[in-house]
Formats: sequence, C-alpha cells, structure tokens
Amino acid sequence: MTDLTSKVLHEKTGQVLDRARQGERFRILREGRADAFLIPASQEIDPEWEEIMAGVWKAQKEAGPKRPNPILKERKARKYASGLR
Amino acid sequence: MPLVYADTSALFAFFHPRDEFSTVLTEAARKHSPDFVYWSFMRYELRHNLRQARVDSHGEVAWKALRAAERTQARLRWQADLKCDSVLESADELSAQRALEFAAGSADFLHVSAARRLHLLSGLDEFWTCDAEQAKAAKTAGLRVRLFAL
Repeated sequence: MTDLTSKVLHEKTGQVLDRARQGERFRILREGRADAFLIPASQEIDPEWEEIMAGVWKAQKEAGPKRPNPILKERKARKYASGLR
Repeated sequence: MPLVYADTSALFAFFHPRDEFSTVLTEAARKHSPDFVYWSFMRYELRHNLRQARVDSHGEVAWKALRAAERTQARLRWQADLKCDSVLESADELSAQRALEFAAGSADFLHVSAARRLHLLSGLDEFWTCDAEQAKAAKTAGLRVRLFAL
C-alpha cells in the first residue's frame, strides 16, 4: 500500500487513478494521519469485524469456564527483575 | 476507523472466545471498530500463542478468525515501517532509560517502542493492553492507553 498526502492526490488525481486501475492501493494521509483508502474498483473491500469475528462472538456466548490469558502468564513468569526489587 | 496498537495480550483475548478478557475486548471493539496495528513480532507472538491454543473447537475458531483478519488490508493493518532491527534498537534505548521504573518485561518494552514509533510517524489513536505494567510504560511513553481489567 502506498502512502499519499491529500495534497498530492489533489494535484495528481489522474495519475493516481491510473495507478489504481493497474492494481495499486493507496492510503491517503492528511496532516500525517491516515484518513482514507483508495483501492482499485476491481478489488473487494475488506469485511468488517462483525463478519470476520462471527464465529468467535458466537462461541463467546456459550457457557463455559474462562481461561487465563497466556501472554500475561508468560510475561509474569519472565519478570525476574521485578521480583528482585 | 481508529488505528489501535493492541498488544498481544489484548489481541489474543480479542480472538480467543474463552480468554478471561475476551468479553471486555469484544465490547470495546464493537464500540470503536478499530483497525489494529500488525507487524512481524506481533504476528509471531500472536500466531504462536493461538497455535498452542488450537487444542479444541474454541482454539480452532480463534485461528480461523485470525487468518481471515490477516487476509484483509485494513482490519489488521500491516506496518512496513516497523522493522525488527530498528524496533529492537528503540526498545533497547527505552530500556536503558526506564528499565528500573517499571516491572514491564522485555517484550512489553518492544511493544511500547513499536507503538511510540508509529505514533511519531503517522499517529496512533490508542494503545490497548490487558497488562497493567505495560499500560504504565505506554502512558509514560506518551501514548493514550486503554487498560482492560477483569
């Protein structure tokens, strides 16, 4: 994905659209922050979290015990220094 | 959509339906619809832990959702600017300055350094974690932090 400022997009709209037609994707920045994406019309738009996470969110509602977060568990075990102070 | 750096504790909880923080992460994600920062160390740490959790149907559901998210350009937003070598250098510098201030571990400093770099480069809306020590370190680094508690 190519970063592009809104100023460049404004000045070179035709060139940018030509590049998008050839498959290039752009992230549009305004004041250094990503405000929008410009993608080829031939490509699909990303699915939303609701679609991606449907199975996870359904499983969350099922009854059953929760489990400790393994990353926190690992980090606690590795924090030797904190135990020494 | 806001760009959020969720550390691996938070992302694991987001994807695994049986994690102790799963519900609170889902509530926040449904409310804010964030896109999450994704880069090589986080991908490795998250995949490793989710692979080890693939021992039942919940682990399989989590893995399937992760792979679907990885296929998107935006939901997990790959950060080409976060190169391992340079983030490790930054983390080492941060450690030299702050190692005795926080009980945060080496991986925590790595996440905070990566998030700080992104924040300086292109802006970052929030830093999400389930780890209180990591949250302290991230706040000190100037990041806007959301700490998930049980």
